[in-house]
Amino acid sequence: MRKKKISVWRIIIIAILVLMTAITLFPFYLMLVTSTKDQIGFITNFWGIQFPVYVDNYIKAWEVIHIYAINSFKITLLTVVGVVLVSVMAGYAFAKLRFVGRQFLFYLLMMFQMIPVALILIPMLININSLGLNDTHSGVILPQIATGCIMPIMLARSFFYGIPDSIFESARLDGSSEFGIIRYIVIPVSKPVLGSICLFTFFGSFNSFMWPFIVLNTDELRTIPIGLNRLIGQYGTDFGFQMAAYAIVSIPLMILIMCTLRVYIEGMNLGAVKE
Amino acid sequence: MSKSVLSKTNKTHSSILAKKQNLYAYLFILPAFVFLFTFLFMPLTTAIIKSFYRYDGMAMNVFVGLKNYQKLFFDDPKFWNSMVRLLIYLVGMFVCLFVQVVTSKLVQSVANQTLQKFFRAVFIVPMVVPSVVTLLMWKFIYYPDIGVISRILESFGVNYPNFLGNPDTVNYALIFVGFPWVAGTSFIILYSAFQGVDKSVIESARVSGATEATIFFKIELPIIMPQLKVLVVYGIIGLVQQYEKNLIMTNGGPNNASLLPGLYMYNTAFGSSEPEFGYACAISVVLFVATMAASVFAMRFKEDKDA
Repeated sequence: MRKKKISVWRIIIIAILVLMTAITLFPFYLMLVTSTKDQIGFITNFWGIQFPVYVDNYIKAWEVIHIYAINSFKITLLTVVGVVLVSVMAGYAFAKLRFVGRQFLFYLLMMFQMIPVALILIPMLININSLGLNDTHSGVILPQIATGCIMPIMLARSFFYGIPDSIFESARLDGSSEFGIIRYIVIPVSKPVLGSICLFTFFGSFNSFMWPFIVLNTDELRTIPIGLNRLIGQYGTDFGFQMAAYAIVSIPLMILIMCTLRVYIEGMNLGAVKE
Repeated sequence: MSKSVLSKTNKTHSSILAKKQNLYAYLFILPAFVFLFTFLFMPLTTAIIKSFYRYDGMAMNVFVGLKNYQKLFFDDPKFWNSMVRLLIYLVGMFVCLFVQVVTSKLVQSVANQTLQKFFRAVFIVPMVVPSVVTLLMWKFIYYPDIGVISRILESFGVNYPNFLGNPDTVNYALIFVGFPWVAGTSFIILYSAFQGVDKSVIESARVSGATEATIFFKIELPIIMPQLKVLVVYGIIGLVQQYEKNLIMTNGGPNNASLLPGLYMYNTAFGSSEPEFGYACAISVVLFVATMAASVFAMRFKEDKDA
């Protein structure tokens, strides 16, 4: 009797989850099927896929967004490199080195983390202007490293805490310099946390909209999210073409996260546990 | 005697080591603090300084004292309306959080591991799609005549009320974006929190006859409470910052009905032909202080409850 009741509940739960899955994935379904259609197909056959697929949408979309894609990859790559370097060094120092003011500086770091970045974008722009970095990729990258390095520092720090001191001590006794320790011990052992930091920074930087939108005025310098937002204004109701552009951007990202899901979740938990 | 000498040499050795380490430690944290100082701390001071100026980002740069604040506090109903509007979004945030808690519990309770992994992936993977794409897809879903909702309603013979174009419905329509709101960071945090609950506790409660509802409310919910509180605090901070959605989907319209404080700040600086950077900085400072106060309050509350 009880068992039967539970199995009924199980079916209901799975039904609810299937429904939620369907609604969550529906926009992507819509994106994909619409991207296969020309303008006539869009009117006559709204819900289904069109055969043969109207490939022109994808060709045209790639022509328009490939400049933005190059910019996005450049900005994202440099941001990731910057964040990794800055956060591994600082994370190691905070976890494993003793120095005057360590506690104070760490609290300072935590206070920086509290700053709601989206609220100071305009003074940030004023500063970028006065540094002469307005409308340049550096003007996007450098502040992104600043706002994006705090969480990775915390992640790296809590990761290094878990590594026994003896490894670092023995290297030190063998005469290794601190830079040698970073190069030959810290970086190799921190591969898991480096993976998470790279992923978080990659997605954060690649998808960021507001800051690049404010800094970059020249069209040839703009990134993918800004480019996509412009399509709707320029190409009005040519939805097949727009959806093709969205799909070209979204699908590689989704494949990337699917392949790295475990690293991503582990990193997330490492960060959340230390809250 | 020899022992004390040994310990003395040890001491000097380790203090040299410590000093050396000291220097390296500062070298290692230097880049981080240079970045933070230049691109986070400096803008903060800029915000405070420029909030006392009438500044258009170019030639005009006049000190006006407290005039910007005076206007903001006593003569700007547009700003205060947008602040009040945030309350609707705050309620929306709690509704979303409720759905996220229930869903992550449901996913975690799926017995079949393959199926559970599938649902987990479904609610994590869409998270990496650029928010611009998600927002533009929802803009398309809301589109009058050719959009999805419009088509569905018309097939039932109902005229589409154009939710985004109507001042009475636009805010609810914007909160509804992303329904069922599960895909996101909160899902991972909550799901992992439910995973972390000690299975033997639940098992023994079940053996002593506790119902599933009792287990959820009396055992699991208290255990995941810390994560829940963190999500609420960050949700509040995030709320004031999330004007990207309103910018892309409605640009605050129609008739300023979906204008949020952050978006108002943005429009003051970039929205018109006369940029008011000084005034935008004043708004920035006020929002900043309000957000900090709210989060400090929320954390206090959090600690009190913990104690």
